[in-house]
Amino acid sequence: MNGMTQIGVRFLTRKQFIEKMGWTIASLGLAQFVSACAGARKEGQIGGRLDFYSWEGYDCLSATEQWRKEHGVDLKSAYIASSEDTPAKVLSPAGKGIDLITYAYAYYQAWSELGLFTEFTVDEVPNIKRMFKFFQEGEYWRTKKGTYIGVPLTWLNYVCNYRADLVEAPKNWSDLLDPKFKGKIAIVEDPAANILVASAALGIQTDTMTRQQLEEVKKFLLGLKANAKTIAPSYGDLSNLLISGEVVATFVGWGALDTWAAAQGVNVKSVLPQDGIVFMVDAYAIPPTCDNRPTALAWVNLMLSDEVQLYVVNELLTATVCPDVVKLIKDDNIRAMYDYEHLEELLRQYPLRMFPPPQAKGDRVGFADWMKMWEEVKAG
Amino acid sequence: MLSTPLALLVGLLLLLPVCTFFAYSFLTPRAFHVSLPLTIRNYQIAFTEPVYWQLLINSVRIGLSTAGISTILGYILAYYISTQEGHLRTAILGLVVISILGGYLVRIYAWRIILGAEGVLNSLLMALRLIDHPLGFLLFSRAAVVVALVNIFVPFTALTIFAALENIGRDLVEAARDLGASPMRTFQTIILPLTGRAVFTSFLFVFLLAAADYITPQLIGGARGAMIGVVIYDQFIRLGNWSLGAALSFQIVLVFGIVLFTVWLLLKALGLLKAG
Repeated sequence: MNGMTQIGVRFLTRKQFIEKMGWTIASLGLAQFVSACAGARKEGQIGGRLDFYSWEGYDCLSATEQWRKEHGVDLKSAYIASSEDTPAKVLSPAGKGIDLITYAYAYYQAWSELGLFTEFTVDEVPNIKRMFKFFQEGEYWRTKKGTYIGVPLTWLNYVCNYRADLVEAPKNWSDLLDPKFKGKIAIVEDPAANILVASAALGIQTDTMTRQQLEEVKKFLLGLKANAKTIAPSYGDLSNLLISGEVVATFVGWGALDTWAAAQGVNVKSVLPQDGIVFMVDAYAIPPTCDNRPTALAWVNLMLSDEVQLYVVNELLTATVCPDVVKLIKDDNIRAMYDYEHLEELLRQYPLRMFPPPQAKGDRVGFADWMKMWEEVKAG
Repeated sequence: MLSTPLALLVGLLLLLPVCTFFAYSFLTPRAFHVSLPLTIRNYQIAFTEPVYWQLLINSVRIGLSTAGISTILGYILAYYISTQEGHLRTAILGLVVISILGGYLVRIYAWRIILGAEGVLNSLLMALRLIDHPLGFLLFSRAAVVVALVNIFVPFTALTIFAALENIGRDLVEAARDLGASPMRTFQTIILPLTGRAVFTSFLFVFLLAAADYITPQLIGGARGAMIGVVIYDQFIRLGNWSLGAALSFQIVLVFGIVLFTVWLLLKALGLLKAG
C-alpha cells in the first residue's frame, strides 16, 4: 500500500479518505438524530415501538390496524411456541424491551414469583369494567390491593371433540377408557391441559396434589393412552385426525375443531364431559422489561374493545370476556361454541384449577413432577 | 494462517455453545437460569431415571433401524447408478437429487396420506378386494416412522456411497476378474472394503439425524412414538431446568457415541474399513 486508496476512478489520499468517512458517519448520525427528534414522544404519550411476545393471533393485527395508524404505533410481534417460552425469553437478556406478554391464569402464582408482571390500575385500563364480573375480580388478574397484574383477553373450555356421524357424544371423560374406543381416540400434546382435565375427572385438587394423587392421574392417562391411536403434536393435527377419520374422539379438544371440520363437510361436534369441566383463560400483562408503558396500557385497554373482542370470537374462535360483545356475535354457530348464558354459574360450579408450584414441597408434587409424569406416560 | 479464521468460527459456533452447555450440566438448576454450587445431581437423574433410558432406547432403536435400512437401500441404488451409463445414469442421478429438494414435513404428511385409514394404500388394497377394512397398523407405528425416515435419508446415503464407488479404479475390478474372481467375490473383496468408509459415514449421519429426530415420531409414530429429544425440549422450554436438559444432552452424546463406536468396530472386524 502506498497511502492511496482507490475508490471508483478517483484517487484519494488516506487522509482525504478518513476525512470523508468522518463526514459521512457524522451526516448519518445527524440524520438519525433529526429523525428521532421528529418521532420523539412526550412523556405519557401513546405511540412508537411496541414489542409483543405471545401467541400468534393474540396481537389481533387486522382488528388493531386502524388504531395503530392513528396513534403511530409500530407493533413488533414475536411469537411463542409454548407458554413456557415467555419466562425463558423475558428473564433472559434478550427479553429487554418486551412490552406485552400473555399468560394462562394457572401460571399467575409461578410467574408472579418469577417477577414477570407489573401492576396497573383500573383508571389506566378503564375497559376492565366492560368484562364479566368474574374476570374483573379474579385473583388471577387482580391483586388484593385492587390493582391488576393482567387483563383477560379470552377464555375457552377444554371439550371432547367427537365424530358425531360415527359415535355418540361421550358423557364423561372416563367413557373414553371403554374398550370400544380402542385405537380410536387421540390425545393432544398439551400436558398441562391433559393433567388439569384428568385431575378434574378424578376429583383431585391440582395445586395441592400429592404423590399418590399424581399416580392416580398417571394411571388414568395411561388408560387413555392404551386406547389412543396417537398423541397429536398440536390441536391442528388433532383436527386433521378427526377429519380423516383416523380417530373418532379427542382428549382434550377445542371448540374450533368443529368449525374447521364443518368447513370440510365433516360432522365433528364438541361436548363438555360432566366429570371434568375445565376453563382456560388467557390474559394480557405488562412485564418489567416494558419500555413504552403508556402505549402498552392503551393497547391492553384496546384489547377489550368491541372490535378486538369480535376479532377474538370470529378469528381465534375463542370466547369473549365482555358480555356486551356476546350480543354482537352474528354467527349462531360461533356464539353456540361457548355457554355465555351460564358462564358465571359454571365458573362458580367448576372453579379455575391452579398449577402446582414449580418444585415439589414435602408430599405435594410440583409442576416438574407433572412434566416428568407426562414423559413417563408417553414412554410407557 | 488461512485456517485461523476458520478455527475461530468453529470455536465460536461449535465449541463455545458445547462448553457452555457442559458447564450448565454441572450447575444447580433454578427456574430458567443456573447457579452455583457445582453438582453431579443432574447426571445422577439423567442416568438413573428409567423414563429417560426408555426414551433413549426408543430413539436408538429408531435410529439404528433407519440408518441400517437407508444404508443398504442407498448402497443398492448407488451401485445400480454406477453400473449405468449415458442418459439413464444422468436421469437417475437427477431424480435422486430432486427427491432431496422435497420439504421434510411435506414428505411426512405425504406418508400419512399414503398409509392412513383412508389413504392411498388402504384404498388400493380395498379396491383390489384384498382386505375388507382398512389396515390400522400401517400408520401410527414405529414401522411407519422408519419407512418415512428411510424415504427421506436414502438419497443422501446413495449419493455418499455413489461418490465412493466412482473413486474405485476400473483396473482394480478388471484385475480381480482377470485373476478369476467371480462378480460376488470381486464385490466382497474389492468394492465393499473400498467403500467401507462411505458406508460408515452414511450410517453415522443417518443414525444421528434419525435418532435425534422427534417431529416424525410425533406425527406418525403413534402413542408410543416419544423420543428423548422431546424430553430435552421440555426441560429447556417447559420447565426451565437448563442443567438437567444439558446433562440429558451429554447423556445422548455418550450413548450415541458408544453405539457408533460399536458399529465402527463391527465394520472393522468384518474387514470393511481396511482401505482409505
